[in-house]
Amino acid sequence: MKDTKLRVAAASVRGQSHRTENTPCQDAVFEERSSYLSGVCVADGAGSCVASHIGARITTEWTARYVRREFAAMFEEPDAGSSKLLIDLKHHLTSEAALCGCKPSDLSCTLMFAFAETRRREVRYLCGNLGDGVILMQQNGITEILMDADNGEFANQTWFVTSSDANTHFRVCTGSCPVESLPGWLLATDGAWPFLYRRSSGTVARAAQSLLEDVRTATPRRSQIALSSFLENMIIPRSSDDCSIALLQTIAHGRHISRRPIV
Amino acid sequence: MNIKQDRYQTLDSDPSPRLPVCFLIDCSFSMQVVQGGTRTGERVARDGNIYDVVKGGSSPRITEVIRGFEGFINDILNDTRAKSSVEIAIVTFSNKVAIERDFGPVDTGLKSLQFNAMGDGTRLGLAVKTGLQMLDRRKEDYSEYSISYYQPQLIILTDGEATDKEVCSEQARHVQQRMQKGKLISLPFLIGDEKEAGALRDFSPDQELLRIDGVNLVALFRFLSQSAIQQSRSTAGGNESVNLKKMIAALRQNIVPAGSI
Repeated sequence: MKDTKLRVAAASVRGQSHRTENTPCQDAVFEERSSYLSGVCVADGAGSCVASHIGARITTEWTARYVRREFAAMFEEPDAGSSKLLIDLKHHLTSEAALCGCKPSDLSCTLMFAFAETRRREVRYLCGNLGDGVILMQQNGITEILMDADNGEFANQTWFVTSSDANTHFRVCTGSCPVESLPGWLLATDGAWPFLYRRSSGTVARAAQSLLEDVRTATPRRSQIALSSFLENMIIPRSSDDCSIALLQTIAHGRHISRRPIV
Repeated sequence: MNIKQDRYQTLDSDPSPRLPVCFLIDCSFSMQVVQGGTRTGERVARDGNIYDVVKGGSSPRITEVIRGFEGFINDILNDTRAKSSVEIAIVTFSNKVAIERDFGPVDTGLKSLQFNAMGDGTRLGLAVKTGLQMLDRRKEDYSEYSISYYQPQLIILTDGEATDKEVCSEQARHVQQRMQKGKLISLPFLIGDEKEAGALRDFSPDQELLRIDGVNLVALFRFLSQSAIQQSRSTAGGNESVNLKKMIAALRQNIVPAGSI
């Protein structure tokens, strides 16, 4: 157990249209780190809601702390745990909305999280997804879709934490895998994932694989810089939307870190 | 006049959500009609009608359509998000139906499009059928490239009664079904002061007819571009049927006179 660690990296970048309009980035990311339990949380604020950037920030911070605290209970009973999370989150958003002087629906956003706990021989994980983001999972060096985007036929149809039927669309998955498989997770909002994953064929781009590998092999600071640079230089010029990516990766401590430059 | 372009252009490199907008534009001879002017005494018989030839007057309807369309393209190109989202297809119709431009991104080349309104007949039904087929095919392209899309728009501009009424009735049923399921925004506009709207009414939401004066076409296109920009920015949680009603209400308030027909 002493040898296995978790590492996180996350970044949000404001999209071209929000830069032009001088409006804030409506995505938010938040990381939680502790010795054997770490995770990342991502939210994409609803474009039509005035304070959704605040909602996304509140939602990621609150959810990350909640899942860290309730990980064991949610892992054992994911359905009940996710329902309770949504109820408590809605209460929290209602009180925050009152403080902000807006309606709870003004804080609408999607929600994704991935948390992992390292144990003696295995890594237990808990992922949640509500809305149009995707979560990819890497295991034994192979990256595949774990939780796909949930939206209707049209681009402007998805579900938020404030939606009345959010509970029906909130998907949570749990699992465990051997430490040796070095599992990793990549969470991406709808502004970013179309560049990393082709839904029709289920194909994951090499870039997704590389980002996850970088978190494992580079120093935390360098992998964070690499991620921000990837969003800014590779995605933003080709997308008008805000873009966020969060990475959670297992490392066998002391065996993988390299100081080689990241390409 | 067809502008050849690769229908897959940019789909592979730009996965932004798309908003397909299909324009069906009447190019029958009556679109040459102007308002006002001085009669020369000369008369022209076309398409079962007799037209007085005049000097001066307003621009012909088709010229206003071209002007309005150019403004539409400018508006879209000036909006970062709409520029990468909106895709335009243009179908013209008279006694024949022609695909002037298949779906593709908005580019400056579209501003130089010209439409010759010299045809006889108004095969509206066939034009709608073509437009719906093009929309369906484009949605398949989006799915193939894993690109999400917004509720497609079908915009019809005509100044006369359809001459293929049976096809019209059949296509009107398809359009109404799609609108009821929230899968299509259909906005038919009757240009001018024709007394009978005929089948056109059946292509509109709640069978409301939207009449537009020939001189207000530029304003109409401005409204349409703003609607497309708004739709390309819309995000989840919105109720599309409500949006459509809002759109119609705003049109009635600003451009289309209330109580017409």
